[in-house]
Amino acid sequence: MSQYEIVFILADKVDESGVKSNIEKFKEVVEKVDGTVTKANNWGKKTLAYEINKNRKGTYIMFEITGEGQFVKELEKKFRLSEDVIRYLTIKKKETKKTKSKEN
Amino acid sequence: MRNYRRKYCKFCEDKVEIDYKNVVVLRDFVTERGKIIPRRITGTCAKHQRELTTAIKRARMLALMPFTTGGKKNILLIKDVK
Repeated sequence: MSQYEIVFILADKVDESGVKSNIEKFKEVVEKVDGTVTKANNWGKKTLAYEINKNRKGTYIMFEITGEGQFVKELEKKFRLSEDVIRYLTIKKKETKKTKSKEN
Repeated sequence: MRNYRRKYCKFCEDKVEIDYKNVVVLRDFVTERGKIIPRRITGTCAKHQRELTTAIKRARMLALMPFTTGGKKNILLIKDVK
């Protein structure tokens, strides 16, 4: 099992209820495959450092997920198809030496 | 006699964690134009400089930090404000 961090940015035009429904939608996608969302943080609406698809602002959402990693492909596919998501970033967290030896 | 302040690796000494989300820390290692400052100037050790560059690049991808400032679009924006 690995730890993943996924951050995605929703477009400026998405309102609060839209943000909530998006979070639920993507959570479901993860849970359908194999991962469990341990944390879903909403960083709120932030000004972007540069324009992305004509958006100057965006809502940042961060998921912390534990799982085997099959969900990444599925989730990124959904991100690309979604018109609300303007950017996403997936990071596999580095295992520290302590946790690694415990698993072995 | 050396009369300049000795450079040291901020991450080794102060145990600051390098994270792409912590933009406040990353800002110190970037020029005003958004370029990554070489470690010969900041004094960061090789290991931490490597982590730092990936963190900055991640922050750039998420538009938390700029790739570069200036350019046509930003000039237009300043005009809009005026």
